[in-house]
Amino acid sequence: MRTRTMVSVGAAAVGLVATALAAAPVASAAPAASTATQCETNFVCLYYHSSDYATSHGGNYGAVMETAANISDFKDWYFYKSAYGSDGAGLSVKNNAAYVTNWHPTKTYRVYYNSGYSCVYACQDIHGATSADLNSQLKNNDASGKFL
Amino acid sequence: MNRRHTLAVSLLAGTLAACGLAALSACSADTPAAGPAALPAAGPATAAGTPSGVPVIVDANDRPMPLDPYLLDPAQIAAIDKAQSVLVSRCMGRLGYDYPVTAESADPSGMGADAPTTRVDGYFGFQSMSHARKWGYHPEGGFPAADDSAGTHLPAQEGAALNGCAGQARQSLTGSSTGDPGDPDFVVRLKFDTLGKGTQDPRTLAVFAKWSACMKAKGHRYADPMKASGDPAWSRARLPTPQEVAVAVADQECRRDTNVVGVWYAVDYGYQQQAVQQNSARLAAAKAQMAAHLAAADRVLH
Repeated sequence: MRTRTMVSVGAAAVGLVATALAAAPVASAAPAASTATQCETNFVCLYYHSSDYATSHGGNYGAVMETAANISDFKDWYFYKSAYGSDGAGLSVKNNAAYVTNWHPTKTYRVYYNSGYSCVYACQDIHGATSADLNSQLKNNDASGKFL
Repeated sequence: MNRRHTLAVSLLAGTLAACGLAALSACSADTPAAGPAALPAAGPATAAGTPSGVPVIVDANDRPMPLDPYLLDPAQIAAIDKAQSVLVSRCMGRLGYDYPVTAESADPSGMGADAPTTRVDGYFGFQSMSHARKWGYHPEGGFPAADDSAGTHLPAQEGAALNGCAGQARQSLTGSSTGDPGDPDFVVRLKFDTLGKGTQDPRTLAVFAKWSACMKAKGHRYADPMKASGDPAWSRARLPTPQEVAVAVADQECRRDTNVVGVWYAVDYGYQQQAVQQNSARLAAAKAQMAAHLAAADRVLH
C-alpha cells in the first residue's frame, strides 16, 4: 500500500511538470531516444532511483533514460541527468534501473528480465500511463524492454 | 522445523495439485521413484516422500503455478490494453482528433507457440528443443525491427488531450484516474521474490551444477541456464548465430538429461504455494480487483 501511494505521488508529480512542458514547441518527428530531462507523452522513462528512495530523499529519482525504442539489451544505454536528480548519470541502464514511468497513453511497456525480449524467466509490465518500481530481486537481469 | 515442514508439505501438495490438473497418465509417468527426478539431499524440503513429487519434464509452460490466478494472463493483458486504447480513441475522437486503436505486438512473450497461457512468465527459461534449433535464445522471428512509432513527439495540444484521455480511461477501468489496471504491485513482488528464492534454493543449485557439468562436457561453460541464455553475445544480432543455436540445443539436451525444469518447477511451485497461503486475504482482494478491471474492460469491448 505504501509503495502504491508513493508511486502515485511520484507519477502525479512527474505528470504535472510534463504537462506544463508540453506547451513548448516540439518537432513533429524525433528519434526514439531523446535527452529530455522530463518524460514526454508517448515515451517511457527509466530512472536510477526507485520511488521508495525518491520519496524519502526529497523527490530524487536520479538520472533518467527516455526512450520509445525496442531495446534488446539495456547495457548499451546510459542514464543522463534528469529534472529529478543526477545520481547514476553516465551509468549503463542495465542492472541500474529502479523505476519506470510509462507516458504512452495506451501501450504497456514490458521490461524483460533477460536480454532479447523474452519472458522465459520473468517480465514486468508497466501499463500505459502508469509507473512502477522495478523488482530488485532480479535487478541484475533487467535487460530488455519494449512497448507491446 | 516448522519452515522445513511447511516447505516440504507445500512442495508435495503443490505437485499433487499440478498433477491433479494434468492428465493422470502423464502425471504417473512424471513421478518415477528413481532417476534424475530425485531431489538433491540438501535443502529445506527433504522430508520423506518429497522426492517422488518432482516431475520429470522438459517443459512446464503447460502446467499451472499457484500465483497464476492473481496475475493477468496474456489474454487478459491484451483485453485491458485494448479496452484502454478504445477508450482513449473514443475520447480523442470527441475532442476532434483521429487516434486509432493501437494494435498489440505479435508474440509479446517471445516464446512463440511454447508460451504459457495461464501466465506471462516462463520462469524456467526456454523449454523447447524445436525453438532452440530454429531460434537459439532469440524470440521466435528474431528481435523485432527498430520501431519508434510509439515515441513520436506530438503537438502540445494533442499531447495534453491524450494525457487527459488516458486519465479518463483509467477512471473507467479502475474507478480512479490514478488507478492501475495492471498487475497489483504486491503480487508482482511475490512473483519475483518466490522466483528469486527458487533460483537460490539448494535443490535448484544442485541441479544447476549437474546441468553445468553436462554443458561443460559438450564444450560450453556456463554456471546455470540463466547465464547461457543471457550470454551478451546473443543480443548483438537480430537473428541467432550458429554458435548460439549450438549452445541452445546443448542446453535443451542437458535440461532433459538432468531434469532441471522438473526440480526447478517443483521448488518454485512450493515457494509460490507458500506465498499464496501466507497472503490469502490480500490475494483474494487483489483477485477481486482484477476481476472488476476485467469486467470493466469487457463492457468496453462488447
